[in-house]
Amino acid sequence: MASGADGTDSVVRDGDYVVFHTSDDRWNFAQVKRGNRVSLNSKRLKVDAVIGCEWGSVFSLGRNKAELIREIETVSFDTELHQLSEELHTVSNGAEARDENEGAEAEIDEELEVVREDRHDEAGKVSLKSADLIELAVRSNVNFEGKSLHARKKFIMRKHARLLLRVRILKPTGRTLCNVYCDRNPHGILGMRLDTFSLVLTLANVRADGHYMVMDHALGLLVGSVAQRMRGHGKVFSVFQGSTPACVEMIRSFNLSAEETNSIRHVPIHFLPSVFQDAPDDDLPLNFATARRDPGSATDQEQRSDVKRARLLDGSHPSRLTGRPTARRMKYWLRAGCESLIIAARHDALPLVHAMLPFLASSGNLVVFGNNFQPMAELQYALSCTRSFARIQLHETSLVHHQVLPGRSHPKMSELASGGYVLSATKLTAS
Amino acid sequence: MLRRLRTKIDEPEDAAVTESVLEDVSERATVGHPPVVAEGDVVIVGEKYPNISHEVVRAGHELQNRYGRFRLGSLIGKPVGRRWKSEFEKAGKGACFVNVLAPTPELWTVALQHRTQVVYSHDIALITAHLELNAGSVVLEAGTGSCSMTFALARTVAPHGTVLSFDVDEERVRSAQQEIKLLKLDHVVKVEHRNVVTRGFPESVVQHSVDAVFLDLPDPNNVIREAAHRLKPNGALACFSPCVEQVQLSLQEIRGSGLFYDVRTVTNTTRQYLTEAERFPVPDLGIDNQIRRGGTCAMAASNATTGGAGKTDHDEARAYAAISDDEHADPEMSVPAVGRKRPRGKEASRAVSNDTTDVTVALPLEYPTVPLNSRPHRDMKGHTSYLTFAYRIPYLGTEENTATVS
Repeated sequence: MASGADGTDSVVRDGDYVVFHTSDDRWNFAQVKRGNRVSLNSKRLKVDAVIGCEWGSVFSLGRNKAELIREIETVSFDTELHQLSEELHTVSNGAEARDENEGAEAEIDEELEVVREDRHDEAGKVSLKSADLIELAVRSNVNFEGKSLHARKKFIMRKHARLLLRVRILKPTGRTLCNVYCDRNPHGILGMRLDTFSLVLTLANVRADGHYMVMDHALGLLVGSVAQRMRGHGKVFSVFQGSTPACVEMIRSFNLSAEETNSIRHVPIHFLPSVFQDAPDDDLPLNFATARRDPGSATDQEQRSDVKRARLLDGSHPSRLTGRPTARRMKYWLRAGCESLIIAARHDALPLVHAMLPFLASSGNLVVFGNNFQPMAELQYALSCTRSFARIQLHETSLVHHQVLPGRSHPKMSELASGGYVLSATKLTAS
Repeated sequence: MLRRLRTKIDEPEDAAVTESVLEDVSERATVGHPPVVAEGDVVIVGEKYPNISHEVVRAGHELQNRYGRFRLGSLIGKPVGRRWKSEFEKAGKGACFVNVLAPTPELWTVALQHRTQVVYSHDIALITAHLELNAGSVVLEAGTGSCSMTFALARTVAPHGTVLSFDVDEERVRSAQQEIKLLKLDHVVKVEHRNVVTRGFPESVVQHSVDAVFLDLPDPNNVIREAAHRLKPNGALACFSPCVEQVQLSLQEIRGSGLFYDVRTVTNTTRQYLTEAERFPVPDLGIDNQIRRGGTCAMAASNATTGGAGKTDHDEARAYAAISDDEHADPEMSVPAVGRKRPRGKEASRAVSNDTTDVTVALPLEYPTVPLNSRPHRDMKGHTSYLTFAYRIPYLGTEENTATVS
């Protein structure tokens, strides 16, 4: 979702959720409000400067590393760093690495920090260019000339990370939030990597005007992403267990518009079996409660229920239920069927598939994400035995980042070992 | 097709939902209201996995394949997502069937006619996520090729977005335009014959008006600055290049322009697994060391459903008698293998043919009670291409300043 140059959504507003991507490739996100502080790289930073800035802007750490200060980026900061690194590489004589004196390096860092503090101008902005600071670091290190190419690069990058941290503010999207969680809490999103996350959305054929039923135990990442991709055209039925919709907070962090938020409809899973039957209470707003726990007598309960029913029907009931669709409308939507079922659950998926399958339209796609192979294989076989599915496929993808430089291209050494498994199938119905 | 995939129902107000309306909905509702095929529509015909093709539905036309003859006109007015029985039975083989499915970009990618190397679904997925596309985005694509990526882009940005696609080959452009028209996507996609490397993007694409640019060209490095001028702030660029030398040149240009941040190059490979009921034969070692199933391991796994307590591997191997067909065995043809041995080769196709009535009857979804084994398919999509992603910095000032960086 690229921001428009002239649109109102091109700048960060007070109360928006913002993804922070640091120059040492760390991710975080937070809601920015005036006076609030955000935890970033183990520091609590004031983020007032972010409000009103364009998405994609770059910030440096201000005095005492307590606040973010806007940097004007006429040339991409990434380019600047890359060129600096390359220039330093070219002057290398390729000597063998010597043992690094960590104590001496720490002293250099302290000196540079003093220099950096002195170079703040009146507005608090760092007036020292990154190249200058790195150069100072290199000059101060007596061992630098003796280092190998690799050691020099590592030294520069280390200095950069410590002294010239930059923070870029990004819109919360499926991609950026997936990166945030992969970096900070992969368990929270079931270990779903960006490649598997994107594969789920693609195999589910997510598009505008579609209806999708989602069981999302990945903190709402999938529900929010589907709604964001549809931009309010279509519906996402977020199925949850218990009496409270899950992951509402995470969905909010997508900064969804009113239409997009309205396209998400929470459905308790215990409601699903009753969809194909009419009930007397169908004109009431959908109730998430699993069972009544009223200790009163049956007569009192009925009387209260009648009063509440009447007030809900005329809209005078103060309950939040009045904002929900009625059970009748929800049944109407669900009976029409969904293009895809998306399941990313911590439980065994087979019972969930069984419960949700009646709502998958013919030729619709079932997409199940799982972090463990055995349950997915079992589900794959179980689906094949039903004879109700075509193209049952169990996918595993691998994502490898590459360093591409003249004469020095290679895949990165460390990657996440697994991004999980994705099972997809297309539903068939009897002729 | 995108518009028609879901039949529009006028949504009634709650109070106005009458019984008759609900009855009407209920009739359509048991399996949803799937799209109904009309004259001129494209349908996907799934044969034995993984074979798949597409057909244009025309009354009076026939599809003929190894499963028999199928009258395309018989599909009109009927929903997709079902088995389609051959109307003319093959002698001695009974009625066969194929699956009729609605076209999606993922199925189209497999069913289309290859004019160039296509972008496969797992790459499409990653590219779409990185480009951060949604309904309403404007995308430039250089290198239409076989239309695989074009269809996927159109699906995501429809109905309010636009895909402008360019290709240097006139014949490919003509074929792509025909396919786009067949898929009823011409309101979203415009395919033009144009060499963007020499001529750049058309003047009609104004500066900083595009959400994303996708480059699938032999020399994307020559278009990167041009793309940067068209991209909105934070707009995404994706390059699809098979060779690392191409990536080097692209990155030189991306970094040299000073106009992009978060530059990444990745490869994305996929592997698919086949799961079958299978127990490997246990060797008879001629010594008394038979390990019995259902010991402490089975007791520890309270949910274990494989059963067989008290039986030896020999007993179970005989009972389950499963098998591995060829690597392309159709998973959807898999049947519970309890006490039944799956046939092979010609015998298999005959069995499937004669078993048509049984196979079309759906069975309930249940936990498997047989031992399962999974293995990867023999073939996989290994290295498809390097995917390079970058995002345009928000600064839109004089780009002459930034040009000096290189």
